[in-house]
Amino acid sequence: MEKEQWKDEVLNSLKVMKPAEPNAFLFTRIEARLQKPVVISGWQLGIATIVLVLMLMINALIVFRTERSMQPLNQEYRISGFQSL
Amino acid sequence: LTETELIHKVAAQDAFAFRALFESYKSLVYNTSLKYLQNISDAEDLTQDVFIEINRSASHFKGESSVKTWIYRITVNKCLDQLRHRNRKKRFGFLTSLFAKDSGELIIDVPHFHHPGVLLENKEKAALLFKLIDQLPEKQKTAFFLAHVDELPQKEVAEIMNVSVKAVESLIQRAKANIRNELEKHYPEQRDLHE
Repeated sequence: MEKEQWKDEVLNSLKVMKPAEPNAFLFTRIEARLQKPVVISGWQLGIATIVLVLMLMINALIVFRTERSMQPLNQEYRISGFQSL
Repeated sequence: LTETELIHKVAAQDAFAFRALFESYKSLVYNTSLKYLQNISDAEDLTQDVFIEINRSASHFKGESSVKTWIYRITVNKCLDQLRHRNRKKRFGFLTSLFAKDSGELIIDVPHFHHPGVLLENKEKAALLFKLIDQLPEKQKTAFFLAHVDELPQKEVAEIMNVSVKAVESLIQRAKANIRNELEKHYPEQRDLHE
């Protein structure tokens, strides 16, 4: 019984707390951060360029392979088309 | 001026509106962060991050939920991100300590957190509760903080967490059961302290 009461007291121990006050200069700090321009560093730009180049290369490779695999099919289609005439 | 109008003004970069919004919600954001992160300096940094996010994404606020719910959601998500980052760092610290030559023992335990608003007679119990909450899974932790500690209605908690009311109910019950189980282990030492 005593144990259960203690458990309830622990569980409810945060219910009666007063809200804490943040630092008085918090808003000034936020304002300062908002006024700071967003700077993109050299390495961030480098990584973005590498990713873009890689994506373009993969895209080109996929398009090239698809075109190659479609070619024999197109020829076959044309031949069968002539035969039907 | 309604809160939605205030947000629209913030989106239009109105400095006075942003200040007014900060004054209305600074306590909610700071106290929520403080409960999650259990560190004053981290909670202040996170409060800054939240208000910067609010300022930058105010134009995306669609009014589907209340401003309070929206701000709560941003704060909770940022707190959980910060905790995940902290856990990753802790794991990485554990790995590096395995290879450190001079490390005799490993210190990864979080010190007891004493919330500045907790009453003196509740200090020890609250510190123990904070320690146990810290071990809960993310969703149980959020449901417990919002519904049990902040005493928000379950419907509002469900909206903030983007889950159903039934899910919130079950999360709170599981959180309480887990804490009670852990308290079982701590009771003998508490009894010894009082004897």
